[in-house]
Amino acid sequence: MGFEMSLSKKKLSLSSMLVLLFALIFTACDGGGSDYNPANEKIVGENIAELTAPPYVPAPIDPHRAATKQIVHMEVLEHEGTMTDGVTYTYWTFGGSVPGSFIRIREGDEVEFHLKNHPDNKFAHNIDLHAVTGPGGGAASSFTAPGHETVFSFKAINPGLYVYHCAVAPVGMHIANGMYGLILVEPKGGLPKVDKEYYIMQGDFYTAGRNGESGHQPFDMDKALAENPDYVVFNGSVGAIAGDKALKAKVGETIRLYVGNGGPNLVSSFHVIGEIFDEVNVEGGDLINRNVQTTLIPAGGAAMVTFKVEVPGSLHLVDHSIFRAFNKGALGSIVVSGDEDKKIYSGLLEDKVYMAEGGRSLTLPSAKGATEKLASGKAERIKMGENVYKNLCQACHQPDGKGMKGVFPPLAKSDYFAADPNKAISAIVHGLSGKITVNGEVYNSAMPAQSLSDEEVANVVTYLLNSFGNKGGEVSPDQVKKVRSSGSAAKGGH
Amino acid sequence: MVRLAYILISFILLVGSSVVMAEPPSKIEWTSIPSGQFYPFFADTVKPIKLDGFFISSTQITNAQFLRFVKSNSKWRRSKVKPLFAESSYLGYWEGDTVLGKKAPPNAPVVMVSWFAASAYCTWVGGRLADMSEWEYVASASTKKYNAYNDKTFSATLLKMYEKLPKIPLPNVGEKFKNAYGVYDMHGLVWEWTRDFNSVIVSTDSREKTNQDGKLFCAAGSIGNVDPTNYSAFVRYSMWSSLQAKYCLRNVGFRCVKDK
Repeated sequence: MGFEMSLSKKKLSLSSMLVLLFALIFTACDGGGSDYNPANEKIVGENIAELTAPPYVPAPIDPHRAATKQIVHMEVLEHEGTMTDGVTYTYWTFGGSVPGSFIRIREGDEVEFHLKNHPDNKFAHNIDLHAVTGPGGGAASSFTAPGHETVFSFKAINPGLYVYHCAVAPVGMHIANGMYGLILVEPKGGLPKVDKEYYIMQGDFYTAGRNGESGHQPFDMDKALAENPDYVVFNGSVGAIAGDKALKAKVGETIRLYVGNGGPNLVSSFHVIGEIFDEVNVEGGDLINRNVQTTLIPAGGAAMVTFKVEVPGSLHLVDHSIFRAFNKGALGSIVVSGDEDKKIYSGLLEDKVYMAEGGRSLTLPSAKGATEKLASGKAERIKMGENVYKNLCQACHQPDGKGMKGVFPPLAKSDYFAADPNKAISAIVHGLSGKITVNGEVYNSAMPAQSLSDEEVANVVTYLLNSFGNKGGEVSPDQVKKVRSSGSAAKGGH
Repeated sequence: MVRLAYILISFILLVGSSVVMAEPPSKIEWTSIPSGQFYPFFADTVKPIKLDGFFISSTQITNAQFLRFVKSNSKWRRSKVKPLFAESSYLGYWEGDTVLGKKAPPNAPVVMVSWFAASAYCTWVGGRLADMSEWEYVASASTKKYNAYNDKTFSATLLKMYEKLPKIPLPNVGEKFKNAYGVYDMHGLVWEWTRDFNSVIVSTDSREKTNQDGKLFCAAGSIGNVDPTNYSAFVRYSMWSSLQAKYCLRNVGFRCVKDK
């Protein structure tokens, strides 16, 4: 083996140098002896390759299977399909589905590729498989008129997950209409075993009508050129892997997703809500990154993501360019069934009132201060305080100030703040929680701090003191200021 | 008794044949196209191509019209045609050598005809297939304008017409898209052969910019004579460049022209 021999076989590009370096390190760790070159592997027998429609993939390749001649029959079909409820679109497809049929081969296999353009189709098509080393990735040899079939063959010499697509002019239109899919070239010896595998591919669509506009929607070239899609979806249509069609898994299973991005324009920020990818084969190649939240999948690129599902529930697959998920359809689900594991995720434990320290907004009083109308005397203070009460307080403490027995303490004839109006001020500016006794009745509830200026608090407390049978008095903004700066939320028992 | 049966049968035959006779005439109607200039979609220079005036059949050639040709030219019958000149799918919608049948209504465009067969037909009627520049010249007319190729809405309309999936049997000619010249179905029914369909060598891989497709992507592109947003043209040229003269496709028919 060695450097010289490999060099003579490969083009001397930076990337191949890196691959070489990687291979050398690998073989060194392996104790040497491995001079495997897929290009030289002998072909034993032939087989009609199994193709699957998304979201399914063919079964993993037996790690002991010899390199074989794999015959792929791929039929191009143009047909009308559903983009979303009430919206149809003319899809151009490899194998009848968007994305096209999944092809699974191994490194060293020879593929005899038959591209069949259905006689009823209106357009000429071809195929460029990124897994092919050769002109156009096969496109140069597969230009096929309707009612015709072309054949070419290639040797799979680089393992990885690859996109294939149509490349006939205008290429963007062919891709925008759904002409893309994935081909997996397993490394010799196979991929690590997992429990479930699925096939997902993102694509952006450009329709004459806006998102949701019903009826048959033709392709819109201007929107495609502006890269402004109406739909961004997984597996060809809105909801293709959601609801009844959601992917399924069981707690404890390890799942591998083969995720591609057909584009034609957008780059995907692929993310699964509520999961962390244990491993990502970055860009579908050999490099493995671990503990990944969101992986970037370029247009015309792919990634393998693997994760173990630990708890039951729905995991949502999104393009984390989140408007695409929320408004344009880039949303799918994996429904995980099985037993809860409270150690990993508790579920909802409690829902209670949260009282922020120091009110909601620190800028509010000063902002108001500039333009706030100040009360000119006690009478006006009471009047202005009444407005505050009506807007803010009476919803709980009631218009008559009598509150609600056991829930909201009364303010009418209240013995709670009769002796010390500061207690009323404190409850307003700091909030109040815990057990208190008012007029002989015990209340164990909570009042959030109110976002009011010193002036407003002075007004509303003055209003309280002079209403509902209370004994009168006046509170100044300065007094409120003092209370505000002197303490935090009062606890019960004061 | 036998005699009566004969009379009955001949009566039925007569009625039957009169039904056939009652079909619209299969004569070609010619529309006159004035001379003019045509700026090709692909070109080595920005110079327009000068076109002499010509006549063009106002519709695509129909099954009924082609049937007359086949009847009087037996070597173009399905059972007799040489494989070199037509694929096995030749006249595939027809029920027999000289029988149209349900899938080939008389006034629908004849399809699954090779370039050789289409050329032979046009010669038979005293004409020829249109040159691509002549064809595009006529096809550049919208319903109102003679030259609408720079009209964005026209281009979008064409794309919409192209992507529409065909219904079998195909609809009749001369019913839908009538352009400013008074010529029907230049777009939206079936693709058409042209005399020099294979002169555009669109690369089999549309993204290449090699000398092979220099016409379409390099020289012309650099001098700005090709409009890369003219998707409808790309679609037509891609289709033409995927063909070989013996091909017989379900979505390819033809029309003829005559010199003035």
